[in-house]
Amino acid sequence: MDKTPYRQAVSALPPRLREAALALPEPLQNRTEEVRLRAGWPMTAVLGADELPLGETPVSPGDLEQLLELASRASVHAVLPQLRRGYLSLEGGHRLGLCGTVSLEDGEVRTLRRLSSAAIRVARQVPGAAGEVLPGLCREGVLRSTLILAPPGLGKTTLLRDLIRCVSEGEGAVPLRVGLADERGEVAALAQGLPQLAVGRRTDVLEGCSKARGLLLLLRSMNPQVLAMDEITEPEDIAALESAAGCGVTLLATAHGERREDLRRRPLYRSLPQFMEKLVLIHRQEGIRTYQVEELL
Amino acid sequence: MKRLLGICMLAGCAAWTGFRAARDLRRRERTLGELEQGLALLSRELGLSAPPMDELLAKLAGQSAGTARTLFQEAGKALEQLDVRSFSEGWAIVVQNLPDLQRDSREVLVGLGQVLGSYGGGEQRQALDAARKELGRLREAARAEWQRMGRVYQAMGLSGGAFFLILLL
Repeated sequence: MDKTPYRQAVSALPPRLREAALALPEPLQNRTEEVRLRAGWPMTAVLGADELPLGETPVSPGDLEQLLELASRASVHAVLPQLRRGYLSLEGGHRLGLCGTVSLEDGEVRTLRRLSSAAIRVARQVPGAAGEVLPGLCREGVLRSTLILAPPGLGKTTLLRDLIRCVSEGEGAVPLRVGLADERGEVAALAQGLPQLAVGRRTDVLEGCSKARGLLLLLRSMNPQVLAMDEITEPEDIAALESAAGCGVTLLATAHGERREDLRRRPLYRSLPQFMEKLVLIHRQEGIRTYQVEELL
Repeated sequence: MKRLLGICMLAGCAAWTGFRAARDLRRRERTLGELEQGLALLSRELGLSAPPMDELLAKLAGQSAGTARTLFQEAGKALEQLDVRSFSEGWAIVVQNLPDLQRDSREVLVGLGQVLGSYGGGEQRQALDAARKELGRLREAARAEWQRMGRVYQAMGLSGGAFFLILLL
């Protein structure tokens, strides 16, 4: 792969906007977390707390329609289930979030029309990201069930991916078979059945179906020793994790939150400490990520 | 001898013109039938598995015949130009370049291109069914015209040829 993650992510943009995005100096490209498009305003690059304008020409609704056409390869029908959830997975594991006018049918989102804004989230693979935390997550070299907790944009998915890779490859831990429920295709980014982002040789990836269902399918069909999922968002996710834990499988999951107290404060997370053993908190101080490992049980 | 050859050629041309006009009528009907079948396949595939458009067009190009095959092949190539023009614009160009179609049938297909790939499978199938019905109606009209005028054109061609022969010999 000769493209940097940023270049790969912005290749989904219409040519005019792509040119403006590629005009960003390379050191800034490498730090860009998101590219944002809002109709009527110039496109911006999100770097931490800053948003830098990319060019001066405002984004038009036509640009957003073209973005959707390019991102879906003129196949809205094929990406409609994702579109109904407000995003599309792009080649390389990048994610295109979309906003516009929702069309409802029987209370369910039918489709999204008249797009008003979009955000391309750049997926980055950081081999070695887990090296710092992995020893603290193992007992006698074997990974324990771990929850990664951090606010959006701090690298939960990146850390999860590298933990999966390390455990699957036996790098810094006893090698184990990993089942990954990758609902949005952000962790492994399968293309023609091949992961575009390294998740290790002992990892089985189930993409496209809901995380909760994916975990149970993997459990039944692939006999995993570790089950991994990104972003716990629904009670069904917790229930699936709990039943997997009951089968003796080690769990790896991420959740939105800032501090340990969030596990107690948010009803959704309250049962997690009953079956997760380790907690990784990610912080950013002066632009540098730091990891904090704690015992949960 | 040269004069005789020239007269024969002139008579042959007149007959050929009549036969060609009749053949064009016949071909128009056949082309519309091929397109109708092609759109039926497209609708069926969208209903069955809704694959991405490039896969869908490649599959249909292999399954369909004649003008429908050309349409799907060329529309597949238009997908490679999405940076330059939208799929509906590329589709419209492909439709304009298809042979043996009249303005009304081209308009039906161009209108269909506004929906293909931009909406959910259900909406696309509705548009496909509407386009198929319209093409079916145009095919019936082309068949009626061929039945009504086909032999007339052939007879006119032959008569014209005979006329030249009689006049110039």
